[in-house]
Amino acid sequence: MSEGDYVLRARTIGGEGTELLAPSVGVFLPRVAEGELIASGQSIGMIEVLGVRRSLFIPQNLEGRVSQRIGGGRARVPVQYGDVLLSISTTAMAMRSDAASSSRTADSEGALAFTAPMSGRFYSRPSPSEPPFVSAGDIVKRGQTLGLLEVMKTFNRLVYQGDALPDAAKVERVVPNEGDDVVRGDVILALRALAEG
Amino acid sequence: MKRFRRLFIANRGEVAARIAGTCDQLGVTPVFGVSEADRDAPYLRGRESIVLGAARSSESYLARERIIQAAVQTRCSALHPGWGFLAEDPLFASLCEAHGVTFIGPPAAVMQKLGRKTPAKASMAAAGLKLIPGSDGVLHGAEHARDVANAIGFPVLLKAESGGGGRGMRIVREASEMRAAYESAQSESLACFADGRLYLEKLIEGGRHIEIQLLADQYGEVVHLGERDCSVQRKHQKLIEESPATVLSEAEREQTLAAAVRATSAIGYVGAGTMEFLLDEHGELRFMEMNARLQVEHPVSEMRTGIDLVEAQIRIAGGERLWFSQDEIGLRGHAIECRINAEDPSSGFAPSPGVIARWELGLAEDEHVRVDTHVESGYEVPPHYDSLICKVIAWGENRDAACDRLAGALKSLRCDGISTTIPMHLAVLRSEEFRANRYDTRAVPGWES
Repeated sequence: MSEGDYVLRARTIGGEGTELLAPSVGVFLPRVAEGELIASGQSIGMIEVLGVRRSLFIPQNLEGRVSQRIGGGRARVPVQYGDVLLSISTTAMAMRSDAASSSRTADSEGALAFTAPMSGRFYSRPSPSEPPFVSAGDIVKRGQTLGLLEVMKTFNRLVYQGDALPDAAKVERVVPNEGDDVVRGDVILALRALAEG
Repeated sequence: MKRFRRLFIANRGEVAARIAGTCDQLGVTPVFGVSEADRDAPYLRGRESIVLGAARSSESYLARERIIQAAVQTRCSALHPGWGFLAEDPLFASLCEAHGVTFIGPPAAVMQKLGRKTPAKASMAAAGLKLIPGSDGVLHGAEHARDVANAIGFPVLLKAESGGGGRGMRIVREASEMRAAYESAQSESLACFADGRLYLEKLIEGGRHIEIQLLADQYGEVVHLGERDCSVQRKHQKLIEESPATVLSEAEREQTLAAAVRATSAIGYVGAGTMEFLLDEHGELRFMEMNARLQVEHPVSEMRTGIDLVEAQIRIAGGERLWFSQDEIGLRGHAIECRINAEDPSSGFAPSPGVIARWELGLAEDEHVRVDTHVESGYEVPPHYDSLICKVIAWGENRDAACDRLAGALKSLRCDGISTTIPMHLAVLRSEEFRANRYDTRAVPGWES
């Protein structure tokens, strides 16, 4: 960030999402697309006021997927102060997967499963152009993001956690395909416990 | 000649509503540039507006680039700055022009010249106006200031070269006070105006504040719309203004009006402007400064002449020639205005923002009573800006008739929920000192505060 850049003002909408607001009148030059995953410290584009462009940065402690962008697909969008530039489905509310059926030990040889905590649409990667959160062969640890679950237009982070799961495990396979609809209890990741010692 | 279809109003409140009223009559669409605090104000109902930024003026009404961006974005070809904020900012005026937006006001170069006080004074003296005795240009230091003061005689007033609004001013009553006063005026000027240069004038105590309304087109034609007496003041803030100034001798009036027109022409002024004078103890008008903008008290002159000054500003900016000559301007009867501020006059004029629970004018407006306001029942006076909420202007055949009519209108005005200056205005209008013209700018006649 340089002097004159803006850290955007965020407005929370009923716990389901966040809106990022225009800090000034001017022309918004977006650099992120709908569906893209964005996070604090990242620039979402610029605002041009009388030919001078200033970068627009996402404020602290915000992460999510762009569910709507002002002006649709336009490259230059005239805005006024306070207009909603982006609506963001926040993933900050990580889903706890330790609910009743969220995980289970599948067999005696250390096979484990991470299951969907609720019904929704599964995504393995933050945006189509980025690598997946986890792939077969990866070691996942407690607190790590495994994928996204879109529920009622809100993107929720699937976090590796739950009492029935060890602190770390090896990913055998990512079960659903990208964009598959899953129901609560479906296996998302087939895992294997790490050998003791 | 340019015909404006869309005009950007770079101001708020009463003056914004006032400008829009004339736009309606001219068939021009006004677009209001507003701050977050004003976005839902009643005067914007059914109007086009665009939010510039947050409530604080530096992010909205004083944000030059944002305002011009908004004007361009809303396809406006002209911009009216109102008064205050950026109305006398030459940088803003030239920036408007650079972006294809006609600034409704004088050329930036003229504004720049008038903003620096000593060159402005020199131009006025050359055109035949009398000045307040003082330093010839800016001072070179406290020593120089003391020498000049010794020559013209104490008390003197130190003033900021780029000043205004009473900032950077110090009264000095004797030579021993000069150094300290000079240094504090200098640092205040530097802080307020980024210019620490000072000049000095003889202090005229207990004078009357008289000003002349001028109008000039782009082709060198200049007329005056008579004078106004604005001597009812508190801490340099005008409270009541009237026209004509009945304290002025006929000879002094004629002579000064003529010289003011000459001076306006000589400096290449364009648009509406006002020259301010102090009437000294000898009955002579001495030039103080010229304000390169529309003034709050302009309706007083409009009531006497029937000329809409905002209309004149817009048409002149579009390149029209003045469509009346000096001889065709009639100065009829007497007009008087009072400024109703959201202040409590009984507790030291403390600001009184808040919700106006009920706003009601009992007496109907007619051709003799005019009410300029942007408020209504339920309006919340925001704490961010100045306290002016309404002006009531009355006309009469003579001064007493105008004062009586104004008092009648004020008595019928009901404003619940906040304190206003109405009680003070009624006391002034009733007072013997005011009616007999026995007062000056030092104290409000008929009001102990």
